[in-house]
Amino acid sequence: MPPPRDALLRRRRLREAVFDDHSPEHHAGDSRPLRGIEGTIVDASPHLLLLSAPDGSEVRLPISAMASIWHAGRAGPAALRPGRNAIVRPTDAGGLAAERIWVDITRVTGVIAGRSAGVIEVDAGPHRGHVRIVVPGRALGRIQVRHPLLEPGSLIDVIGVRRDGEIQGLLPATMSPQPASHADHPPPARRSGAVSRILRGTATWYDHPRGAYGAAYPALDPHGDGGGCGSGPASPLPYLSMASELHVRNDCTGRGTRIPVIECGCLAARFCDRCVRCGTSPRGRILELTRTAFVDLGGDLDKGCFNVTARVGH
Amino acid sequence: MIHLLREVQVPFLGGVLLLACATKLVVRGDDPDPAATPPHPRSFVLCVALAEGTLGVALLVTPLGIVRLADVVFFATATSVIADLTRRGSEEGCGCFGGLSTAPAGRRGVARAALLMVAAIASAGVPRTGVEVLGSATGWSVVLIATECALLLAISPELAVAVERTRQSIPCELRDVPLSETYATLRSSGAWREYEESLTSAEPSDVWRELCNRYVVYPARIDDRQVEVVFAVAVGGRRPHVRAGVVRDSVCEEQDGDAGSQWAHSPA
Repeated sequence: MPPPRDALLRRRRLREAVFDDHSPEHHAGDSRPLRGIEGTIVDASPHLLLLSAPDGSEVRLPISAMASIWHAGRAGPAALRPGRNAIVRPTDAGGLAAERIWVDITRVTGVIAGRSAGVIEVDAGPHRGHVRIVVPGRALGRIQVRHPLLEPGSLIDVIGVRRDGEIQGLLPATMSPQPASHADHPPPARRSGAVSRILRGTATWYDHPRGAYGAAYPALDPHGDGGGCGSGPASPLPYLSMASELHVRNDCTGRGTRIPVIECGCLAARFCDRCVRCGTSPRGRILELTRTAFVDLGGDLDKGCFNVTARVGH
Repeated sequence: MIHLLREVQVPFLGGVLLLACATKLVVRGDDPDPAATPPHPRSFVLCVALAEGTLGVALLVTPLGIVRLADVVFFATATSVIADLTRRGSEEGCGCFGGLSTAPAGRRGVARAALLMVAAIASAGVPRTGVEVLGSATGWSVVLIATECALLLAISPELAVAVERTRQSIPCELRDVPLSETYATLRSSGAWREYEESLTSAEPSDVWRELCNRYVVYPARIDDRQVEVVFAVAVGGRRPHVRAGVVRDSVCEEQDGDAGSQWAHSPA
């Protein structure tokens, strides 16, 4: 399998050979993206964090005095234990000084396949497989505020923490006042009318197992090498393919950048909730960003979403 | 009867000209490729529409000989232009009825323009206006006009376009288009014929889609160099475009066949 960036460059070159549409390299928002860093904690002190990045390199990150650490909630430096996974958002001042650190944070989005007591089996789609969530009693009530029907066939979206080899569900990832629809009854698709190539809606995040950078997009072409799921999007989104590029802007922070499509967001379009981080997003989920892409645009992983403007096409 | 046949040509031609004017003003092309250059500038289309509208109204309200002469000249010019497009095998539509006339000009278009020219010549000596003819219309007049309208529709490719456009209301960005349709469009295009002999494989090395275009990539050999030919096939619209480009960089050769299929839907 080619590295995503190779496929991205290859298709960009082939496209340019036909249309001669050299895409501008500048960022797509009002502010530059940050540079989130993900890795396994090798060592930590109150002022310095040493991470082993997915490519094997080691990164030393100073921890700013105002840094906030998340580990199943607000935590102190003691949460920065070697062996744990961390994703770091640097300060806005430039450099690598950590402003926010999320430790072992994960997210499970999908359709409930089964439930027994405090354990929920979730079908996270063809790319992410089946995932088991353990929900502690104290978290169950919080989750049921947004997902009152924790029964097979219902959609679920939970932020949790990896602990002792299992995923503990802690809180619902959506704060939308509108409950998500049942998986078998998605909102009706619009079948006619003009299609805007500037999409405004909700961006969420997902936990890519290899720490990749990119986005999962719900409407990938199911034919040829497009990489689509074949079920078609529930909401009317224009068809794209793997390695297509989106100009993505976080409407809450103004940060923007170009993000490649690296996966089919097979389940995202089934949700009809809205993000209410900075006003209500005009439509539901149009993108699932990887953790680093989400953090680069100024997103807070523990908040789950932000309002986004994505421009497709070239 | 011959006299009646000549008389009804005046309101018939007036109606055709007003319809052509209206469709030029109202119906735009449905080009899926916004970067494509339209065959005629909008200002030119508006000028022609204005001329048609003026001529159509004049046919209905005045019996002046200059109007009838202008009518004959107009349709003779149209016949000549469409015949020239057909002879050259151009993929350009005649634009006779605005955005509905996007299909390449063909024999039916020539026959239609020629018949209208004959009708204009036949009506040249009629001393009454189109409104007067309609005001005193008999049952035979109605039958003749209806027959002419049916004949015009039968030989007009625009009718099928209008029906298809009404039926197919899904924008091209949202249309689920099978590969067979893309290959059919590709293999009937001029771009395919231009590069067909150069392709070294019958199977594409990469196929992907973005918005209204599907990209199909084939390895090829041009000037003794290994290259890749990429075709951009429009997946919607009435007149699907096919564009081609050649990538001569060896970087692509190293990655032949590696970009798509393994990417597609590999479960975790």
